[in-house]
Amino acid sequence: MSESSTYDILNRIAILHSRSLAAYLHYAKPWAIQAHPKTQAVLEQMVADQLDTVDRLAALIMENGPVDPGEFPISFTGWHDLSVDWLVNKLIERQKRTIALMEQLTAELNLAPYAQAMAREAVGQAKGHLENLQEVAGELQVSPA
Amino acid sequence: MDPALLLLSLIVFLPVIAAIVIAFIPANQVDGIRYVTLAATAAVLALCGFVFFGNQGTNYDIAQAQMQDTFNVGWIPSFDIEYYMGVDGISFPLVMLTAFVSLLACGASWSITKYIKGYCILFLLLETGMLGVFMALDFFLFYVFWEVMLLPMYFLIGVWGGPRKEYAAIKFFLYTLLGSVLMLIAILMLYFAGDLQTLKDQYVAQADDAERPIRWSELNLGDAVNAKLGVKTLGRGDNSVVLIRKSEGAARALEVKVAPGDVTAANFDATGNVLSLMLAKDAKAADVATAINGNAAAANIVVAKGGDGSLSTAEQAVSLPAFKVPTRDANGVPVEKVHTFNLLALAALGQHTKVFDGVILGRSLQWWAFLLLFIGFIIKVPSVPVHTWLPDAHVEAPTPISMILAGVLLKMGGYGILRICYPICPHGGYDLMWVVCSLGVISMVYGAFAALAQKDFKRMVAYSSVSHMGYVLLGIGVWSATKGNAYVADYWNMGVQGAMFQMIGHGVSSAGMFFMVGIIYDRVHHRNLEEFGGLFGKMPVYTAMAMGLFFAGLGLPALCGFIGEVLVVLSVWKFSMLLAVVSAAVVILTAAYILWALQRVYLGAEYKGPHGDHITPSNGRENLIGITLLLFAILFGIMPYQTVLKYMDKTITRQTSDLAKWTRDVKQPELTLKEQEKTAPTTPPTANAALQPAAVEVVSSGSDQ
Repeated sequence: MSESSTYDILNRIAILHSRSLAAYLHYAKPWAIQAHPKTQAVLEQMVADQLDTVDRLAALIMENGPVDPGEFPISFTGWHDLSVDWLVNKLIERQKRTIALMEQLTAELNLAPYAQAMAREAVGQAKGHLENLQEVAGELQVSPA
Repeated sequence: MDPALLLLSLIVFLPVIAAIVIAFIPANQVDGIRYVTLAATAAVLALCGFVFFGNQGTNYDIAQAQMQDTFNVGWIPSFDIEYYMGVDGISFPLVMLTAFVSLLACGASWSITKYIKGYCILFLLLETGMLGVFMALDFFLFYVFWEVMLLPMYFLIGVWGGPRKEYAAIKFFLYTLLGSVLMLIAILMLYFAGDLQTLKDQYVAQADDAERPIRWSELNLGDAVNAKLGVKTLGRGDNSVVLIRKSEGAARALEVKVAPGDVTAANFDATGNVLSLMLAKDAKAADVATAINGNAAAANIVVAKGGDGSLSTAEQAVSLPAFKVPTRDANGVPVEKVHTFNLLALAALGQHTKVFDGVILGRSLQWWAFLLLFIGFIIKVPSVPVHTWLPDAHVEAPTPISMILAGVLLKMGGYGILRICYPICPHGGYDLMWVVCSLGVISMVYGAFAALAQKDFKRMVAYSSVSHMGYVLLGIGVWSATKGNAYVADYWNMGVQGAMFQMIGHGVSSAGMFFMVGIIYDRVHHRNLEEFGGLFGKMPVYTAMAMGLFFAGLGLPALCGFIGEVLVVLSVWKFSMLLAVVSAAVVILTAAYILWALQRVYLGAEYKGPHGDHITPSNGRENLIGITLLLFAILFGIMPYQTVLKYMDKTITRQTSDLAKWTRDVKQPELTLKEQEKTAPTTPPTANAALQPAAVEVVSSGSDQ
């Protein structure tokens, strides 16, 4: 990976949160998840936490420049209204990849201890979200929606 | 009372009655006012359904080409102005479209929150104007309705519009008024040049057994005009026995016309010299006895009304004056003219007499009349280069008014060209066919490129209307019934039917597209195409409806936009291959701007503009209106003949075949003569004087009695 500034790395972490699949599913309101209250609750909590993290990261980012809002990947639009269990599995899959990427980015923040601490906190939060999602996935396998 | 008179008048004036009712409702009773308006527009649509599909006496008959449900009541008899209405295959689909779009636009008006009372009153007046335009068969009455429609529209844009509403309203008003003034000049030209005596001379000169090109009974001339011509209306009624005693010694003294409706029995008793007719129960009988042999005639009429009760008979002796042979001036022009505003009579005059052939500035009077009327109507269509009012008016108008504007008002231009320009001024139509078709193609291409360049969503849809209405102009103008095509009118017929279908299809799809733009504008209050995106994820039902309606506008097969476009493009081939290729290529441009707009607005992962938190799924009212429009777009696309074409087929076929005959019998000999004059050696001017049409009589105030 090429050398990146703290500002760029924090922006990338912020985008991973604000433009996550969870954020998109909450934004686009697919009916399939709305019909499953437990999944909906986990998703909403996850998005709320992510937005909170983005706000805190943004305060740090704005000391050096504007916050990059980022964009949702266009591939998300192909998953409208798919079944809840498929979407939850997709969320888990992407969350694992996001955690791996965030850990990599966190390691690159060794010159900015405060930012690194905040990034580690975000990684921990993401792992907590992953556990919640896996719990929901287990429930869905027992009793499909 | 004639049921047609009652029912058609009710259709036209019911909105005005509702507007008067609303005037007495307190302005703060917003819901009450809205529901009265909705009820009135729904009642008009229901009434149209009842009158044309559910009432035996006024049912619309698809087998008939002529005007149906006609009535003619003197309005200003001293100037031959009549309250004369009716429907045929050209006007009937547009009347239905008007009633339908008005109801949906009324439903879309729930988003209007400012001055509801005034808005609803103006909306209803607008509906009356629109319906009146499509039903009026008297030119003066047509003009009145045309102007009645203009004023509510001006206020609806100017008061309820967007930020530049005053500019847009004034621009709309001035453009349309310019067209109206040109139309008024043409009306005066045709009125004062027209002479029914000449028409009758032509009619009388034709043999009885010939297939008469002039269909006197179909003109439905008013009683006052008939009296001047020596024609007397003897009685009207259904389920009647009509006995007519012909006068002694008159070989051809009386002509009895029963129209429309079946005569179940007809018998001529030579001994008593009595013609008896039994009319069918549902016959809309107008029994007209005409003295057509130049002699005075007398007749005894017995009308025995049937029905459930006992027969009641009434006998009246009728004296029919002889035709007055008009005194003619040196040029052979009748001094005593019988003028008319009757559109059907004017059409007969234009096609079968030379009264509109006088020369003004090197061109015939009807050529100038065509030009003036054509400019007036293409302003309304609108066609390039007089289209610039449309994008401004659309962008500033509130959503329901945009629906009305695109769905109905633009069709008045096409209707006017089809109903008035071509039948009344065929010389102009023939001579300017390339102008009409070229303007159509230019509008198609220019409108498509302009739509492609727009950043404003509503402006893009407005320019798409310019492009789509270009097809209408092209289809109407494809006068392929020429000598080179052996005067076969089939392809022109196809073009005109395509143009009419395009008007109906565009009425549905464009109203739908504007409604879809309005739905999102109501939420995010902007129309910048660059700042949309991702609506599919947030408003799935709305996006599905929008996709369907925009695809209908695009002209996708199995949707309403396809049929009209393909019929027009097919018809052009026999007229000009170049225009056919260009018009077919416009489909690519249409697909480009519509698909690009859909991509920018509905697709993508995320909404990029302001007020994203206001994006909520479409509500039940919006879904009902959108799905209704979409269903009709699909219905017209998969069943074009059963839903639209069969109602207009006979009328358009007859109009195009009539004009094809006119081309063969009138225009071609004239063209041949001109060619011979060009090739022949120069002759003294006096030798050709007899061939020249008579000069137009300059009418000054009071000179025309």
